[in-house]
Amino acid sequence: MSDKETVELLIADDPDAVREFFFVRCRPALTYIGQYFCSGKQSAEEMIGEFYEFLSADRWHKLRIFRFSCSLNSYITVIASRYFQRKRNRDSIFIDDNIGPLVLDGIISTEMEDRSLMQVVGLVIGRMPVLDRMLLNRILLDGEKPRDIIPEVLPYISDSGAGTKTREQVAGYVYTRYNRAKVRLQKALVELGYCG
Amino acid sequence: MKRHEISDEQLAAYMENLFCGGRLKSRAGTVKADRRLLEDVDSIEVLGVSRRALEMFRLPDWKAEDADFRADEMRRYAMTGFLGDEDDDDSADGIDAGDIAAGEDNDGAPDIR
Repeated sequence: MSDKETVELLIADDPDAVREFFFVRCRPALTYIGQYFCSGKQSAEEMIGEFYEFLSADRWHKLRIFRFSCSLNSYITVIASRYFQRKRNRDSIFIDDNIGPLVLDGIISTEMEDRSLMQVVGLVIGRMPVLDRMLLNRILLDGEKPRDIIPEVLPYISDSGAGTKTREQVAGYVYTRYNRAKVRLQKALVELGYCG
Repeated sequence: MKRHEISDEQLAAYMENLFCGGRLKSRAGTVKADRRLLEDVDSIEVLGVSRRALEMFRLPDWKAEDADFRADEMRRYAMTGFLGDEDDDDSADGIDAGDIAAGEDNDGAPDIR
């Protein structure tokens, strides 16, 4: 079945198409995205059901504006990522501005325009402490779930004397530290002229 | 709600070009899209997690006939727990190797209609 046929069936609220699409075809991807942004807070079924409610809202508006310039899989994946990201950002504890600036000497230069922008992100991340660097590379850029990299984080936490013990505590520490590093990266990019 | 400068579809198309070996129409277009993405760290994060999640669609390959068994197996459990029937013993309606080998249509998923 083509993407266009699938979209037409979904917009028509075909129950078989809805079940097949959300609970079979997209299930692994939606589960991954949900666990990445809302780790442990909801079951896979709850997250998929919630996303179905979101996507079907306003008579499937997101699908009705789809122009098929990319695959349906990619389109749905981005919509789901943004949906669960907004949900996480809404629920997360506010991170204040008490985060020290990075030293950006050497990055700011007249050659900025010639650099790949992903290279600039790489340069900024390279100025960060080793744990922040690792978290941003693995979670932000590689898309690894925060919980999946806990074993790799443990040595760094022990070195810093954070004193975390249980898996839940470590997960919480990773989550907070990652969010702080992300804010720091955003600030550095703004300083470099990439204003959001 | 935060309004994104780059649409869901634009970001998805960009992701496909970036990670699936496709080529964007022009280098200038690439740089422009890239710059807009980098103005928002959240979009970079979406790009990373979406790329990972997209890989999940390939397991199993829904277009390959030899993946039918895995597809049927996942379909059978697709709604488990969602309709409150996780304790139901549906083995009588399940899939067995003989049915698959015989090419029978054996969809064990509960009917939600």
